[in-house]
Amino acid sequence: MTAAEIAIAVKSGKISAREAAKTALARIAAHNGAVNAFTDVTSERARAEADAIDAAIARREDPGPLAGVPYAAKNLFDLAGLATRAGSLIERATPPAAADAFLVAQLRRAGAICLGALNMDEYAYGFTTENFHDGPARNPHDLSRIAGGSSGGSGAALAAGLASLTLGTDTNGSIRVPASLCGVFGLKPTFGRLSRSGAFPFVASIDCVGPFARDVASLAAAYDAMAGRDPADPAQAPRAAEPIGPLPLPRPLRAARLGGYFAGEGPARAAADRVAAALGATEEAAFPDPAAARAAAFLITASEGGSLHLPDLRARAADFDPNTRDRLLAGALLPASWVHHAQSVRRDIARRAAPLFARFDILIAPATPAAATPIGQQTIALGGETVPLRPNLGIFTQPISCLGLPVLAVPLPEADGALPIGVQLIAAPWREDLLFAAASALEAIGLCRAPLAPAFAQ
Amino acid sequence: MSAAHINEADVRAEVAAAFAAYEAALLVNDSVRLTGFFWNDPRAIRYGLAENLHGAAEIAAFRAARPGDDLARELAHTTITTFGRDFATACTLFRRRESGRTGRQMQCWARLPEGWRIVAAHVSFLDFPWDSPWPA
Repeated sequence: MTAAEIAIAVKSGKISAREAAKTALARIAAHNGAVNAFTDVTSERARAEADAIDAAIARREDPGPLAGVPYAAKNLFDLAGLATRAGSLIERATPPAAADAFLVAQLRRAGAICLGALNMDEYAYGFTTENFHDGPARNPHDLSRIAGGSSGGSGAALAAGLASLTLGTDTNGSIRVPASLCGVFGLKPTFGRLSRSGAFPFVASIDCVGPFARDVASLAAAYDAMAGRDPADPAQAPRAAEPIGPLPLPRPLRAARLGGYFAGEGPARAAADRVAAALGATEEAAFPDPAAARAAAFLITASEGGSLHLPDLRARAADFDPNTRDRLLAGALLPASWVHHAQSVRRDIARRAAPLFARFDILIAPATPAAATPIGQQTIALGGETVPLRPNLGIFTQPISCLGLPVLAVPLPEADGALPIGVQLIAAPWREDLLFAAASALEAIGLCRAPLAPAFAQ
Repeated sequence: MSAAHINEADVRAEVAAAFAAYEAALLVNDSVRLTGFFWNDPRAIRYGLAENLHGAAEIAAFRAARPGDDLARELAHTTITTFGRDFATACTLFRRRESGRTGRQMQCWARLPEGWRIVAAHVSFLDFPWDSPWPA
């Protein structure tokens, strides 16, 4: 059942929230050993929340739009009573979180049931979730392959059916990359849309939080539940929530395929081309200076990440994940003038990109250059060259998030043999409604779907 | 029929998904798929903008010959109401994007052994001010 279907079944009394929680916890017990999506399972909390929902239903109170929906959050979101490890060794010695992150509290208020915390790249600095401390998250479509990152557990848990909704964060592609490699829907909202309170930061000037789901209606329900003004988050835009509603209907859209830098190759290119054809995109659009936008994102990311962790880098560098440590150290040493220049490049490209959205509602680009690669693989062949895999998984996502644009990653199952691959639907700032309308059409014609990985379909 | 049997959430979600799928097929003018949404029976009826179609054969023939221009449209005031587990109405206003022409569409959906199908429909143009549900 989808998250939306579970909520309907629980509200109508066909199943209890307790049963929904029990089923999810049993699936985690049976399968998490293979997938390594969960780093913490909050069974007691899940049962208590489920019982509260069932009690509310017994009292004929409205249990909320996500009543009984089992979900889990990337382990950088505060869950009351749990140390927020953010994929690290260092943070797990910190005191347990006193309260839930804003998004977690919103989902709780909507009636959802928290199953636990999910594997990620250390401090969200990576695209593969090959976590040194917790082990790699494994792709449910092929357990020898990566789930993508940094929200790898969030993608893997959904594709294996261990949760019905998940939460992640996206700075340079950390929602869109695992959504693509695990074959699920993922939304990176407009920068400043959703509150980041209680989410461990990475790059304050780019970080976004957002939901993953296996269908568009559930993604919309999760996104609507997460919305809301949070005075505690100074980075949230002072803007009323603009709910998508329970039924994001297809509507006519002016779509264009991003060309050049974003053409892609092989199955990634074919997937984006199929989405473009389905949305009636006859034109190709040119994104201004994508390589410069990506370079700016690299510099800002490394610098802000490096300065955030500088005290620990000085005091206990050996406790970092080896994959993360050198990136953070290098970032902490960047000249300030480079970073200031990167910020002005970013503003300039955002200004030059704005006219695209006067002509088009939706821009289309691959989410990743390829489907999931084997765990441990170091390089990938792109454009006839062998390049390092880890940074290049974000080649198509980084320039977009650098500008703060909202993106919905839609999955095409079996796009590369048995493996799925995702495509980015990109809209103007604050136009998530257009993304949902496009995703709804692609789902309705059967092109974009997120079936459970076959090995976990029973 | 008691009020409890109107708009049961799971039934309404099924019809809403079918309605969304029909709208998506219309956007891409997938005539095979569009025909498939109609009840494959001589009693199926579609009163179109400029044609009266009686029976599945006439509906299929119209779909196959339908010109593909000015089909893209946006919807407003879409109202789906289910009665019991096997019957629903879906009513909506629309505005065609290219021509800007506005109109109404009403459909009756029934759950048949083969799934939810449109058993009767009526579409007409009417000029009225368009109150878009979407931000400009």
